[in-house]
Amino acid sequence: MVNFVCGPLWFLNADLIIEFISLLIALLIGIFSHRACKFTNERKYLYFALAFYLIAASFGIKMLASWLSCSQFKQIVFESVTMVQYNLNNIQTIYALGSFLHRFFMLTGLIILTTLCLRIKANKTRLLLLFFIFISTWFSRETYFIFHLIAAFLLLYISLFFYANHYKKQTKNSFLVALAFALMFISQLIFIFVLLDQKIYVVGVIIQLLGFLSLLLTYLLIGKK
Amino acid sequence: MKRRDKLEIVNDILLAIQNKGGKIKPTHLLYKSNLSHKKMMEYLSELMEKNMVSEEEEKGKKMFTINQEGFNFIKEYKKIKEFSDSFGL
Repeated sequence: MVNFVCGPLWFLNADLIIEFISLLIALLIGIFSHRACKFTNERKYLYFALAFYLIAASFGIKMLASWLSCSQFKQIVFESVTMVQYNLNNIQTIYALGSFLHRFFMLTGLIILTTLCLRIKANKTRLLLLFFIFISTWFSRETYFIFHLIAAFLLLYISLFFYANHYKKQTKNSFLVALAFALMFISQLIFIFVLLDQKIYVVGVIIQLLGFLSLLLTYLLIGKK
Repeated sequence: MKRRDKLEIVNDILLAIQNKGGKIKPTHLLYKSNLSHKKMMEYLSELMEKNMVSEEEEKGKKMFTINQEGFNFIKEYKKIKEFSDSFGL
């Protein structure tokens, strides 16, 4: 049975808007990094862009899956018992596929960021990490917890790297980047406890949004230069 | 001391011209760019090919002038450097 852990129903529309904002911010960072890659011919910018494109795609897929599941769910009220069963199966399939792709894209994006932060350049190591991500998101019984646990762990590594970078650079932008990823790390920790109370999901989403807004501010400050 | 990469050298050359009011004498540029004469001429011919810099004569003396493409490069390089520093890339 698919577990619909996506917060309270009253929050659904706001959640979609917040995810759309996060998607746009991730896309902006990805496009800028792509531009940097074309300018410098350095692969690290291409990987960085790819990581943010994957994060943006992951939000897009989650939005689409949530929207499709909910629109199918609303139809059920007006239908016969056989159609109800048919539509429930549809919802289950859409949600399961959407969830898997969302988790896989998000974790792949985070893995790429982690390999950049840890200066891992061997493609074999990258593939190995990707393989473990695939196994854990597809075959795990507790995909929801495993996903947020891995995301939190990867974001912890990324946050520590950006904190060290800020310690070295001491600029407003390096601080905002470190803050952004620290907030994203906290949000992933919060998401782990959603089953205790659905309101926790709202707190997690808002903290995650603050993280992305911090990235947007960095982007705008860089653009102003 | 860290070795400068190609883009950093190009940026330094263009900045040296910009800081001199957009025009610079070759001897002054040689001093400011911290390159050998041969290397500096290689870079300058590439910059002229890309229309970032042009060669002019002023009172019988050779001068290098920065063009709009050169100003655009400086602006873009500054943004990318800031992006790279912010994200520790």
